[in-house]
Parts: sequence; C-alpha cells; structure tokens
Amino acid sequence: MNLLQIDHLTKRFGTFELNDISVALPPGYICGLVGQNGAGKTTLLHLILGLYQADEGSVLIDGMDYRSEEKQIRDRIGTVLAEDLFDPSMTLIGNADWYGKYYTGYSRQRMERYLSRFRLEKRRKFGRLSQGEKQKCQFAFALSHDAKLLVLDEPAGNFDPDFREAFFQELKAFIQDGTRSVILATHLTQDLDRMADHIIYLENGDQIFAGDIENLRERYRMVSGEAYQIRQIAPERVIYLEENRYGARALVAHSRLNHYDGRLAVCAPTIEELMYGYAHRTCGVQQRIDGGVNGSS
Amino acid sequence: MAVPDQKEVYMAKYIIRDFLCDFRMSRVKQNKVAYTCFWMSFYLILTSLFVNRVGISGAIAWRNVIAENALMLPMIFSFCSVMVHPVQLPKMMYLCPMAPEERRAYIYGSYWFRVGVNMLVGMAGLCIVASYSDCDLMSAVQILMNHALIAVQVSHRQQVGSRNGVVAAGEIISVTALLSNAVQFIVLLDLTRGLWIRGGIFFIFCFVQLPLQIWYAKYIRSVLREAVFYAHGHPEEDCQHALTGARRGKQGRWHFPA
Repeated sequence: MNLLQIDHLTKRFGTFELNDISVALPPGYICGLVGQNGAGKTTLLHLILGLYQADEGSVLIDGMDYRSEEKQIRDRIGTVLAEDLFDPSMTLIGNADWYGKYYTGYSRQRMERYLSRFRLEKRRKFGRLSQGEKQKCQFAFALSHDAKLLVLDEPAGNFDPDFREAFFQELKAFIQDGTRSVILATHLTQDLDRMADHIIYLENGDQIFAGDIENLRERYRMVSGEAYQIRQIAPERVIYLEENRYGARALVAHSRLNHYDGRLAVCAPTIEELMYGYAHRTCGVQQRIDGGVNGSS
Repeated sequence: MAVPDQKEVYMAKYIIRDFLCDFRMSRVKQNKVAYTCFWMSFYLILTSLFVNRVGISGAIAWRNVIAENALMLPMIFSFCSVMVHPVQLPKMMYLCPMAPEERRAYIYGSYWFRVGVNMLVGMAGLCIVASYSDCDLMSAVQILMNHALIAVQVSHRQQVGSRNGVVAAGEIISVTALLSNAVQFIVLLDLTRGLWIRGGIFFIFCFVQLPLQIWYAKYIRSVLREAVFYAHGHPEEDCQHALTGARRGKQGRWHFPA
C-alpha cells in the first residue's frame, strides 16, 4: 500500500488551478516536489496536510482519508513549513511539550536529543531564533513524534551548508527502515539529484511529471557540442535547444534505440537542467510526461 | 473514568494559558484597533481627570472619575480582547492530531471563556459604578447588556461579498453600545432626570441594537463553525479569493469571475 496516494486532485483558487494531480509514493522513499515559484507546490502540500479541501479528487495517507480518520492521519505526519508554526513566547522545549501532547509517539527525550544534535538550546525562546534555527527546531519536533510521513516545505534554504548535509543524513536515516517516507518541496535540486527517489514536477498548477526519478532521467539526455551536430537530431525529439557562439546544448527525448554522434557529449540531465529545459521548451512539445514526450509541430 | 476529566482539565488550562498569552504587549501592538484601544484607555482616564476638575471640585469629582472609568474602561477592555483573541486556532493546532470535535470544543471553550472574562470585568465595573452612583436595576441591566453586546463579538477577518453588511452591523452595535453607556453615565450621576433620555436609550436598544445583534449572532455562529477547519473561511484562503474578485455565495461556495 502506498503511504501517500493522490488521485486526480484539483483545487481552484480564483484564476489559479491545481489541476488533476496524481501521485503514488510508497513507504521508504524520498520524494522531491519541484517547480517554479507559483507552480502550486505549497498548495499541494497544504492539500496533503489536509489544511485545504480539494474541489475534486482524493488524498489518502497510509490508506486513510481525512474525512473519516483525520486524527489518525495527523498523528502520522511530521511537518516543517516555511512559516513559523511555534509560539514565539515559549521556549523550544515548551513548544514541543505543548504540541507534543497531542501526538501519541511524542518523546521529550527524543526531542531534547535532536535539539542537542542540532545545537539548539532548549530553554531559548522560539521568537529569538534566526529563521534557520526555527526551521531546525520544527524539524527536530517533526522527528520527535515518530511520524511516518514527513512533509517539508523548503526547509533547507535557510540551513547553513554544514547543517544541510546533516539534514539530508537525517532524512536518509528516517526512511532507512522502509516504512516511512519524505515529501520535500525545494529549489535545491542538486540535493534532490543525490537523495530523491521520486519526483513531482509542477508547472502553473499542472503536473508535468510524478514518479521515479531514474525513470524520468532515462527518458531524456543533455546533449552538448557543435550546433550543426545537434541539429541532426530529429526535431520532434528536441525539447529545448540553446545555442551560443561556442556551441550548443539541448535537452532531448531519449530511448534505448537512440544513438548520438560520437563527438557530442551526452549525459543524463540533472533535475535543474530538466526543469530549465522544460520551462523553455519549444512550441508543440507535449506538456505532461506520460509514457514519453511526443513533439508535435 | 479519569481520562475524560483529565482531558477537560488540560483543555481548560490551555485555554486560560492561550487567553493570557494573547494579551502580550507585542500582540496588542500588532493589532491596530487593539493598540488604539490601549491608548484610548489612558486618554479616557486623563480626560476624565481634566473634565471633572479633580483637585478642585473635591470628592464629587473623584466619584465621577471613578464611575466614568469603571463604566467605560471595561468596554474598552472587552473591545481590545475581541481584537487580540480571534476565533481561529494557530496553524499548528490544525496540524496536530485532533478530531474535529476536539477542535470544536477548544474553539467554543476559548470563545466562551473570553466572553466570560469580559463579562466578569464588566460586572466588576458595574459594581463600582453602582457603589458610586444612584444606579437602579433598569440602568444596571442596560449597562450589562451593552457590555455583553461587545463581549460576544468576533474580530472580523477579510470579508468578501455579502459579509460586508455583517461587518457594518458589528461596528454599529459596538458604537451604539459605547454611546448608550456614555449616556447612561450622565443619567446615573443625576445630571439629568429626563425620562425621555432613558426611554430613548431603551428604544434604541430594542429597535436597533437587538435586531442587529440577532442578525450578527448568525455570523458569530458561522465563524465558530468555520474555525473548526483551517480551509473554511480562513484568512489565507479568503485573501487569495479576494485578490481575484471571487465572491462567496450561499452555502459557502465560491463564485469566480469569468
């Protein structure tokens, strides 16, 4: 059973629409949620957290629906959002104990251990922390109550490089037992390249891709070299082409049957290259990625 | 069974703690109306000292000052409390494992606790007024009713469409309650014996304040109901819709512009 199952989810906010999102995240995986600013990442996370009500479709967490088992679902979710969730006038441990009492798996010792590991003084008031420290505190709390699903909205942007490494190590340790998963919205795609197993790519409220990251990478190649050599690739395969006086590079659709000129440098694209190429794709390229991209002129 | 009682005790403790924490100066400063009320109370005290010529007119002046402030300051306190205690849980509470019924109990408990505290303050003020003036039962009841009309109000979030009328109703109720009690002050201090003034206050209460309050009560109920869920009528969602000109129709459905 998937830990997170989203089927044909739609939510309208005036002229913005999160349209027909379908995601299946099994336990034991890290899922990256990427997209440009305003693509709908935070809206999707709010729908997963049950804060917003979908206009159409369903969200199931560990097979449970919010409408009938809201309390049980929330007990299984750990959250770090971009905004401050804790009371600024209370201490870190005071906040944790205050909200932790609602969680069946909350442990004060575990919380203190994480605070110590993240170099946070438990008796400090939450309002006096820097933005990065606040995110660390919320992350510590999310880990302290034995959650099954971590929902993180761009936490790593405020972390120093040293802690960012520790953060991703914690995420790896979190999913190690194979029963828990993480969904992480971030702009730091190089970290997702290293860590993520699944990707959800949104653009203007539409789902471009949702699935295994290796599967996605296998469908595309970044090709660099002389412009005339790249132009020999079938135009319908070219998602995006960038030329300058020194050469050219292109994002092209790929299959096992495709071969390339030996003078071209060909490699699997990073998530950032994929997002950039797709955001600047040539006209006629199909928007949503299903079984492959078919260019149509 | 001990567990349900323990939960109720904890909930009461948290409601009291939340109520007191929201009265922090930083919170009052964030809310312009509440901050204005805070400074208004000092202005009121100083004005009453000046108007009654304290230090010159003797004991009667002090009596008037105490009665005036005991009448008006609790109302300002209630208004300030309405502003800094919105009917909305912190976002983290919507993420915590609470069943909707638990959240409902928390929200309703917080609301009625706040109303209760405001009424207690009002009654304390009324007791002081009664001991310093000729306050008959009719006037006392009317003062308390005016106080209650303010105490039960809810702070308005961003309004869209048909709710603007309710916002105006709430403001009219507050202003008429304040003015009515100010006029009561004049009556209580024997500054005028005009029965027509008493009659006028009673007429305004029956034909202006009470009908508006009955209409406003429906809004209070809907705000309390909606506060159980983060999504319904939450300022964040309202703001997003307001930016696009969406209007809320019947049964809470949104109608978007073409």
